[in-house]
Amino acid sequence: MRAKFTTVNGVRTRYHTAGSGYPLVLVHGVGISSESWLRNIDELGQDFWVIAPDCLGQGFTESGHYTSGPPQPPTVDHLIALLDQLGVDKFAIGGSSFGAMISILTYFKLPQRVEKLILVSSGSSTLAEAELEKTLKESYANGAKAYHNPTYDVCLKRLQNVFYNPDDVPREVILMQLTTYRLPGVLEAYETRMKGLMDFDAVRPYRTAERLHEIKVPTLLMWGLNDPRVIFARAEEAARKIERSTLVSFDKCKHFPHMEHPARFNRVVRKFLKDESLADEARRAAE
Amino acid sequence: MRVQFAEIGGIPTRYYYEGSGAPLMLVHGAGVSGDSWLRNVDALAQNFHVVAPDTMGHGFTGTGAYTGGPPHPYMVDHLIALADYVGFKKFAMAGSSFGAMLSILTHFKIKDRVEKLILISSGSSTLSEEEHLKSVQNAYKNGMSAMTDPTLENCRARLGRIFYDPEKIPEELLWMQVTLYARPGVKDNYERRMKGMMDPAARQYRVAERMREISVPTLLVWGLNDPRVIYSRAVEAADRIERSTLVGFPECGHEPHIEHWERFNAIARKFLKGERIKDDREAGQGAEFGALAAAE
Repeated sequence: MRAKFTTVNGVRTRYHTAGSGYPLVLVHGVGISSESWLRNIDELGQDFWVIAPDCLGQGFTESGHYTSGPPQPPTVDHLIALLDQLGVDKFAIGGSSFGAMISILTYFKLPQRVEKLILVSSGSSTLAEAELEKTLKESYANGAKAYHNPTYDVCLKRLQNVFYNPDDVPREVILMQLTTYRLPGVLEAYETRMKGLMDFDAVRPYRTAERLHEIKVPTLLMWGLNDPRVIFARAEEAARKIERSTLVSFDKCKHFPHMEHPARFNRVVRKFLKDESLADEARRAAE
Repeated sequence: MRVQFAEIGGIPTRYYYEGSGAPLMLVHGAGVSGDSWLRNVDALAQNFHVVAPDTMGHGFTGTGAYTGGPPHPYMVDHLIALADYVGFKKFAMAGSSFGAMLSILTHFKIKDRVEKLILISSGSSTLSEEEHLKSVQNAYKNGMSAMTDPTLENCRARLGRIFYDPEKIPEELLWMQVTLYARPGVKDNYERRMKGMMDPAARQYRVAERMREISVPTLLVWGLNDPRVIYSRAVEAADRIERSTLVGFPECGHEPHIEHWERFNAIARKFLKGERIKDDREAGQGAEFGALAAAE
């Protein structure tokens, strides 16, 4: 596992990467960075070429020309430009929370290149508008505290609110947040992004919850059963709408299955990408 | 603890800070960053106003006007500019490794402002020229093993060589290094500074022969298993510093403040509050520890 810095269409960009072979792109959610995948990059890098970028305006990636409005289009464009630059042709993409929505939008834009989708505890891609509004407000209330006053304790408490076991919050993520949240312009970029996401008229064209039946590629959904940012019934509906889908639930798990239960998460992803049966994993979830 | 970015003496600088009360500046060693104090800032901030910068050319701090040669004067000026910026009129300094040397040089430059010194496992401040060159060459080789190819594994292996117990290497420090060392120019800057430290022109900044000039209370904390220092040199240094206390940490490598942070924080707190600390040289423990360290 290593970090790399590159410039994508003039935007200074950081990504973590490991391994070689079939490309697997991992997209973090809002208010976090590619460190979100710290328990997955090396593990999955044993079988795949893992690319986990800091999305536009997050982590150590600059905001570029994004200054207002829905963040989805520039975030997707930046992600695709990075993959083009890295010479990635066909790939699988997995996203956590808002990153899952970005993954679906990337698929809609590149249906010939995105071959598999992994959606992880994502309210933004599955909830009804009114439900999403409530979730975003809660997320904003929780996140803004950290962005406005990023002390170690505040950042830790904020993530502990969305972890089932508060002791599982990786301290690596917290240390990194202390620095990334104080980078010049980051607070403003966070406010801009959240405002953009909560402008429901403006973001309506980028909603995916009503378009899930358009997803034709194999799709793995992994949801935390105790996640306050999602509604599990909506994941079940989404899985029904997506033709080739598998839903795997994680017990004793809130918003971050990939950090809270990394061993199982990595095992399920590996099986899914290698076209192995997930019947056992899905059944275990149903019990 | 929290982070601040600011322009200090014309150099974009990152520093950690927390707490209020008596001012304390923490100065990391060569080739690492202010993150080295991750186990100390919050703990010491319960009693002190702690500031822990990335020194010039390290971490997220720029290199400023420095282009080569001995980096010492540039780094000292940057630290003094930071002290001015955060409003430290009089303050204590704790330095690890090369950071201890910078702390001493800062004390020599602004004697009336640096009121206490904590020197931590510092070869650069205590070794003879010949010993120091060997130690810096080893550090340089070890640093380059991480900076040339900064994978998580290489960063871990590099720190593993200077920890007594590699299990105690904080994972968050490694993840930070993976990003820090991936930044453009970092390796070249590191090489430039390390060569500058080995440059004969750096002789004028040596402090090992000037220990007698240290006039403030000084605490020396040495790792007894540190491959970068020689414990008997710390005893000699402590003997030359008028008001000194020497504490060797058993089962400890080059970073006592990380490897045994609870003990380090407790001792540093006592020292800064003027409380008595048991010195190795009492009851002949210095000799015993010296033998132990020499056997390493």
